[in-house]
Amino acid sequence: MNANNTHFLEVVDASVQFGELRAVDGASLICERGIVHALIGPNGAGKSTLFNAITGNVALSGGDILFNGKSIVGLGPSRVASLGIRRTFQHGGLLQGMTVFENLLVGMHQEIHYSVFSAMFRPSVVGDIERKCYERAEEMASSLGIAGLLHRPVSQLSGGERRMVEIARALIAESNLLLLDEPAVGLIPPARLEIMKFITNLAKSRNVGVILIEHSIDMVLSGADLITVLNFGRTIATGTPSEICNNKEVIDAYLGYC
Amino acid sequence: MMLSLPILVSDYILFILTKALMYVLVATGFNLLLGFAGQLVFANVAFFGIGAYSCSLILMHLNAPFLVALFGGALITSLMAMIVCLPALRGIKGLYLAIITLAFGELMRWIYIYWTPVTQGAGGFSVPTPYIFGVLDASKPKVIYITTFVIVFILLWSFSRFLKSKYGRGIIAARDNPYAAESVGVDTRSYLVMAFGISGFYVGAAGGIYSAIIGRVVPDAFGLSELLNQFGMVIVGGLGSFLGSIIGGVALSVLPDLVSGFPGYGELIVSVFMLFVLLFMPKGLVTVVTKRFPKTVENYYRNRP
Repeated sequence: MNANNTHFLEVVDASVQFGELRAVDGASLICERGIVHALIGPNGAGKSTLFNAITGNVALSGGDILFNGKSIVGLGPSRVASLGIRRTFQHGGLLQGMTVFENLLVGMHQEIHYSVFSAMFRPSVVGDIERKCYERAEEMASSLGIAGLLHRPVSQLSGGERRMVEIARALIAESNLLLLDEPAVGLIPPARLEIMKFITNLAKSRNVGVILIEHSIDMVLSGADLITVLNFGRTIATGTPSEICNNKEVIDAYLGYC
Repeated sequence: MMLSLPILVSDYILFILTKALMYVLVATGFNLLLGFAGQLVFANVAFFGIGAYSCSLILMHLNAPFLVALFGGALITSLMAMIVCLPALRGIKGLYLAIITLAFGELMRWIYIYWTPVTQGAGGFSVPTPYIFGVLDASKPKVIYITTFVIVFILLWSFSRFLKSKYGRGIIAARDNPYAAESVGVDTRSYLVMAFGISGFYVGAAGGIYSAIIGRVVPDAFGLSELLNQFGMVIVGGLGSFLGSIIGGVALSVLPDLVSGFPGYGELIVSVFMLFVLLFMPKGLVTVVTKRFPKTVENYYRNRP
């Protein structure tokens, strides 16, 4: 899709080995900017592990991951994040000791620039920068409908509210690739569709690439541009929602109906 | 108000207040590692001692003004703290890190005792008269009180700024959930080094103040009992709490002096006090303030690791 034939994110034949277990076994995936790419598959298919490999949380045992044509294999998680790749976690990715507001501020960490010395001794410089971030955090919270939670400690939130906060924290950064690991688990159906709409809008308006792990198939079909199906760590199909729905192998392995 | 005290109260009370201010600095530095960074680092007394020794040695050999010696001592301590950080950087955590850092503290004590050409051995040495601006004798209670007050005020003010900045948030985030912190671009390793460096600077500065108010440095002053004392300040005040360090540092440095009039019962009173606090206020004395003024900044950072 790109003029010079490099893809935005390209996972080539990636493998991850945990002792005896080959959690990801030669999976391939291509994601472009502005596209919502869903990653589906049975439990234990290696979807989250593939995310962890992209973000540098687990080491690849084979294959390559190219971001804008450059390999990002071997970079630590914070270096990968600094390239503008943001993720959510399947379980407990929030900072429990902090408020929602602070979680959002931490989400903007990469874009806040001042030195330690300024932080300690130049309140006027820091104050201006921080105030802008406070406003952005408030905007983000109200656009996702969680403005009322802003100053509550995360430890007091319900499961669904935590999900929303985590999504907000991933979206608030100036990212260019978002990896969302089951963002809608525990949310009520209208909220799911709301989230999906928000994600597709975001992908189009900010030209962000989104990879989405999701089991809620109606949500995936409603918003994803492309779907990749993993099974036993391997890519078994990639295509548009309608192609995937009619793929015999996918129906046998995962969908069963549709 | 606090600055007018020198003309109102006796030199003895000023001495106690100066010591309390110094311990506020100690507890703040210690709390940064224990509470905010969530690392079981028990090298605090080693930092304290390095600060005291290097400040007095700079005074002695370079004939430097007190403030220069204090700053130099704090910088040296900061560097040493960043070296102590190495095991933590390699991923050693919890009790393992605790024992390594305890061992570092004992190693420093060994150095104070046996590196006699420099430290003058187990007997220690008298600190040369520290001068501020070349004329003011900083060993005088009034002078050192005001100096300490100003230094502690500036350092605490900047510490509160630090906590509310991206760096403070990064350190707390790395404690709460290192994976999440990394996923938003917090380089947890360099933040750990930063926490050690700043903690070392604060505790080292406190050590420099110690050398001026006590006037003598001896290895025995930097042993395990002093470590327990400082640990108590952090816990009694409130782990991971800015105000807690202030309250704990003052409480546990003033209380022993208050009860010293009851020989034989003093330690008992202090122990019962600590027990009472931990039983009824497990989050430290700071709970009294946070309950009364829940809307303060403090509330944001009150949670323990």
